[in-house]
Amino acid sequence: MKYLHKIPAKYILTVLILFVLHKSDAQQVSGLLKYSQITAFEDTARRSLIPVDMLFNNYESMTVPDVIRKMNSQDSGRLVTTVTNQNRRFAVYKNFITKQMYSRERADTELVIVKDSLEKIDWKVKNEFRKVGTIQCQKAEAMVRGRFYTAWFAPEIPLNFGPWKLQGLPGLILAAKSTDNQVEFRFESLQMPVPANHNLPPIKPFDNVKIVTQQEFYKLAKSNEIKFTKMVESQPGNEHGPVVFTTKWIEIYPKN
Amino acid sequence: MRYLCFLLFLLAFWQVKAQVRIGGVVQTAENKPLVSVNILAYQIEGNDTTLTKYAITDTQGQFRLNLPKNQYHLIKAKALGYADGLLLVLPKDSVVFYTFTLLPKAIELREVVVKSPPVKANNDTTTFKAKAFMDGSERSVEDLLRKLPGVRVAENGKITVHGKAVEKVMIEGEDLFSKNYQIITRSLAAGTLDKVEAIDNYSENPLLKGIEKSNKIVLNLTVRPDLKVRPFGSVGGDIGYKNKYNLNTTALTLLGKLKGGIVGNLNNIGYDPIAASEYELSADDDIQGFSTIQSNLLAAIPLAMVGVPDLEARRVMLNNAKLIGATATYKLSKKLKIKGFSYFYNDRLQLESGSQTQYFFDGKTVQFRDSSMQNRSPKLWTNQLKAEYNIDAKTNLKYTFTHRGSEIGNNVFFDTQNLQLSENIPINGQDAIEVANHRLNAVRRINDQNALIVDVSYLSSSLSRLTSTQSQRYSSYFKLNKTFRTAWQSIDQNQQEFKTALRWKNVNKWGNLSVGMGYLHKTDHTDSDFSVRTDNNQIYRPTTEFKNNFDYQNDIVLVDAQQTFERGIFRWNVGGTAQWTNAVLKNAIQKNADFNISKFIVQPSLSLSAILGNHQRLTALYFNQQLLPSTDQFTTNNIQSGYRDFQKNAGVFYVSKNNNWLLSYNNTDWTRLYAINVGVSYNRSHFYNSYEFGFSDLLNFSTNRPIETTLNQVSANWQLDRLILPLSTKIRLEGNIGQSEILNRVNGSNLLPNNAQHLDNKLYFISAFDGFFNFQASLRYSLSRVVQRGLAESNSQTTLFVPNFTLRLRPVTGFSIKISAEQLNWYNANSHDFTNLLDIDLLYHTTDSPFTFSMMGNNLLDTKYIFFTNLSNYSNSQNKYALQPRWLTASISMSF
Repeated sequence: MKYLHKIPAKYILTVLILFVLHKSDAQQVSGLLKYSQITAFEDTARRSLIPVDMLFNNYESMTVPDVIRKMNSQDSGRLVTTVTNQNRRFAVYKNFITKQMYSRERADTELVIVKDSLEKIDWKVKNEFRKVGTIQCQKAEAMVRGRFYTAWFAPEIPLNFGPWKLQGLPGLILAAKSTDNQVEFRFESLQMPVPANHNLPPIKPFDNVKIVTQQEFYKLAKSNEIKFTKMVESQPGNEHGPVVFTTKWIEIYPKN
Repeated sequence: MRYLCFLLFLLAFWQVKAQVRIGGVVQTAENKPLVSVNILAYQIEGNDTTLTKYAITDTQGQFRLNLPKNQYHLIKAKALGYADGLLLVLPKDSVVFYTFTLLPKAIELREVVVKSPPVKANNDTTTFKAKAFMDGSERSVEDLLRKLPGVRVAENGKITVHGKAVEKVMIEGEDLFSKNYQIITRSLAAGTLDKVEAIDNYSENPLLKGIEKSNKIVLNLTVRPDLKVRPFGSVGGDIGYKNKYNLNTTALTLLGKLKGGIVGNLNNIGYDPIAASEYELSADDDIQGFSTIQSNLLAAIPLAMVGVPDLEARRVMLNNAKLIGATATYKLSKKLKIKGFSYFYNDRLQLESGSQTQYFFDGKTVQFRDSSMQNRSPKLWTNQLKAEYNIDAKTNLKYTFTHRGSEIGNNVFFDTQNLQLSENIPINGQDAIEVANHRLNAVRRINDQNALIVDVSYLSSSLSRLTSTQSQRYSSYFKLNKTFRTAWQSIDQNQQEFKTALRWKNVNKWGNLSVGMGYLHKTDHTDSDFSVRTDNNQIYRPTTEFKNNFDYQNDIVLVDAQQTFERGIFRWNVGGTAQWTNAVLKNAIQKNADFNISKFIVQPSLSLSAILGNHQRLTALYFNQQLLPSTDQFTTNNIQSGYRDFQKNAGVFYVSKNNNWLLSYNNTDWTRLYAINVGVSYNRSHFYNSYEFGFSDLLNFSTNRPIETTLNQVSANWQLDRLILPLSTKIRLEGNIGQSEILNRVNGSNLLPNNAQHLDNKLYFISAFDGFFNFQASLRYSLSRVVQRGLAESNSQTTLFVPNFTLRLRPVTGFSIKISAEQLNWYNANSHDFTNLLDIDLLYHTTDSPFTFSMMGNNLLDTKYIFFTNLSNYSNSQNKYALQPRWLTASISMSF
């Protein structure tokens, strides 16, 4: 401390400011978008609804199922299949600085983290407007991971996130629906900023799990599907012959 | 050259598109690049601006845009926490580079909520959003309720939520049909609803909120906002083959001061909005403290005759049902509200049976042919008028007048023929009951912890029963045509009951305290007349006549107290009742039956319950033990009329991870892999009965010998659920085993034991694919053994075997098919009977359309119920019971 006074005051100040900035910047949650993820893969009458939270700050977002709301809606007595298990545990982390996206996916029996880059989605912005909640939104359309979506984004909220793996519009995507009516992200609420005393989880990438690339994941999913199908086929009492199980999910995987 | 080509190509491209590339950087006032800033380019045409292009800055804060040449554009740079950067540009030939410097700005607070989640739990209220649970297959509110988590609707329309029976169903807070809520839940279209609220710990009186741990649960239905401003409802009808028709109308209004509606139903297909056997004649809510006294014996007597406890009895029974009901609530002033409802239900039941018996006497054959036709027509009606007056913020007064009545006509016609002789026996019965109840209830809330309740009620009821027969016998061989037997039975009974009670309710640091005292005065006057005159014939008894006339009076003074202790997850309930009772019977005809008894009775009670989690999270564990020790009540053996019925009841329930707290009817949801529900119960009751009025055409007896009966019952039941993945099929095994023993002592004789044992198992397979495809297969196997001693001795063993298969399909939205098939096989040593049932339902209904189309077919297989008996070498008989013939209906309904 003897030499402390020799250090110019402005450096100390800068360091302090940086430190403070660093503290305040780290994993700060600045907004919370709540939406419902509605999927109906086999039939539009059989819909599965998962309440989802998307937490975000300026550069990162984390999409996770809403644990509390899930408690209330999961037991609707409808169905439990492997698909819903997959639904329940999915999560997506996006980082706009590193341009990377991590998602927690299930390859039938295995849960893995898939590392992918934030691709550029070729959105066609339409001159159509609609209010989502009280927020004025504009329409945009694009093909994203196997499905054609109509999305509604808010140019007034200059963030590039969106539900699930949707992103890259000049405004927060509040609602979206696939044209085949199988996937819908229905807006429920938006809170910005989130009060300081929130008890939401921090926004950070996943750790301590197996990380694979998107291509590796497609291969893994395919091989697990075959394994699972064989397992079912070989069960005693199967008189139906070969069984074909295809995992239906929001993302449509490439055929090969 | 290569580069030149490329450049030319690029230039050509730009020329074609006539676009100019612009670029730039976005930075803070400190020259730091800003990442992920949205750059929006709006093309300006006149007064219009259109977003044509956009870009997002990279990690260096840079962006690129291609804009049409010579067009004015407004470029906005937007970033969270910064003021917008604006720039007006007119792109020319050259590449332009812009720099945006954004200044910090306070983040605008945004809080937007568009819709609430489908289920919301808030203290005692769980709210379900109706639309989230509808998929187009639901017709009535009841169909919707079946889909809500934790809600269960029984076959008869009674609803339970989290295992607790629902007290009433309200619409917009208005109680319209009280306990007979099926009228509304089965008539109102599901699409009219916005929300369904389940309110736990519901207090009848808002002044008792927080003081009363009522443990009652009610449902409140909220209708769609657009329906609150106009009358709404539904109208629909069926036409069909075999004279099947149905007309159903519901209209409700929730406008302004007057709320109410009408419900009408004309029915001949078995879709009855109110099952006659479930008709409630009990008062709305009995005066607290008196529920332990079984005072109103009348209501239960003749209604028990309505239901036939047989497999699919309704197929035979329900031929024609009519229901009309109206309800209204009118708010006269801020303090005074008047409510009323009225409904009438009429049903006609018809049962036909025939048998053919061959007797063999010394090588000769004598053939008998019997046929019987039974007609019953219950008429039931209820009227209620209620006035509520709020004297001030802490006191209110309620007056309720309830009038209920029922008439049950019962006509049976037996026709017997043999070679030489034919006879017919018509039996005509008519029962009528009328009950009127006035009740005044006052509640005063003293402060946050204390409240006082005063109740006064006066109930009068009358029962009259008349049964008569005049049998005819014809024979051309014997040249006979005469009335051989006339029988007559009549009972007139009048009861009056006056009750008053004062109750203090208190909240203290341990829990809730309730202390009450009450007085009951009851009188009963009964006249009965019984006579049988027969022609002198060896088969039948000679003339019998019997008359009885008695007055019964009972006074009860009662004090009771209950305190709950709540500690964490445990709740103790400690309390007791002390009562002094005096019963006097004066018999005008048989003096030896008179009695005058005074008795002091103390009944302590204790219960413990533990709840893991809370009801909002669907309770995980429930444990309840209730022990009501018996004290001697009317132990004198010389009581001739009157009865003693006391029960000992102990039970332990364990339900794993379940949303239902009931023992036997355990609703396990699909998310659990398995659930086990095991229960053991022991019941003992003991009663005396002296006058047994029996009336039948073949055997009649009247006895004034006291019959002393003791009933011992022990039974165990189980339910095991297991979900088999990956096929998502649930296996459920439910069953029970039991033994009962009835010990009879007639006029001081030796004890005559009657024993019965039964074992019942049902195995289900239920698939989870309830959206597109769902099947349910079940197999029931039941074994029972009955050993009877006494007047009629018998020893029989029966086996029941019932396979059932139900398939539900929903190939496209709104269209559903249900196919159900069942076969009943019944065996015992001497007989075997079987019946086949097949039902098919088709339904088309989408949530968007107000129309529903459906087709239903029941009993599509030939469903003759054949009962074959081969009792011994001497007789061979075959009975046929005609089920309601097969029928088919098409229906359309519209909600408005």
